[in-house]
Amino acid sequence: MDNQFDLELEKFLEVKDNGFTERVMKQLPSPAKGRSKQKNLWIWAGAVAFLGLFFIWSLGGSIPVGNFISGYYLPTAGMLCATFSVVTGLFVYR
Amino acid sequence: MCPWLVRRYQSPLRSYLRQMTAGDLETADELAQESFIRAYQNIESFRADSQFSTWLFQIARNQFLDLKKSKGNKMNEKTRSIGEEAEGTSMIESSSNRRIMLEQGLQKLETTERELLLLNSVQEFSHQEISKIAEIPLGTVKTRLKIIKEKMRNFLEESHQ
Repeated sequence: MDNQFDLELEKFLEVKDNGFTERVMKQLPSPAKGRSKQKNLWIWAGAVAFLGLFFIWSLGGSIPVGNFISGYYLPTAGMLCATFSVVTGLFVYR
Repeated sequence: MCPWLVRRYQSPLRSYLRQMTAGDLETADELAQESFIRAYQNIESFRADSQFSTWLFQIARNQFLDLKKSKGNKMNEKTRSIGEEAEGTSMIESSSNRRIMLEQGLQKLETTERELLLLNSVQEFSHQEISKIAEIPLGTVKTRLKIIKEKMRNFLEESHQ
């Protein structure tokens, strides 16, 4: 009796979609808009680090501040890390 | 949020809100839409200790209560009988007499009673879940549901005779 009544009520109250789902989906913010400010900041920081290190790397040995900064090893490693962080950031947080 | 998730819950949620707003279809649909959007925006705060539907209905109920608080008595002015707009619902498919009887029966119930019955019948929430959504003690939910169903059954039987 209970089940029969529940079924009857369920049938009575059923609401057809009629484009409702589509309207909701249009209203939902896109994933790009939903990205937080903090995540955006990390991507920007990675991009700036990449450009900075690329600049140092491109100058190579022409900067007279010793081998540690002007040399190839540290800037190259740094640039690779920065590239990796930008690419990973874009993939993970997109 | 996946479209299938909206499709899965749109009918019970809209139906619940239509009854809560006493048949104000426009407001009910706006509330339902807003509930889905809020659920999407706050999905990180959803804890897996309850079902998604319980959480979604809690959001919808809070939305309704906020609106009721802000509009106050004005809300009742806009209301109309659910039966006035059968388009888009399966009510057309039901026999009209039975439909009218069910509708009258539901209208005879108090808002809280109607809410409990809907949560129990439409979405098949457990008593525990209803207690969580409607913020009513579990024991009260069980007792009241028994009385409400009896009330509805009696009304339908009387109307049928």
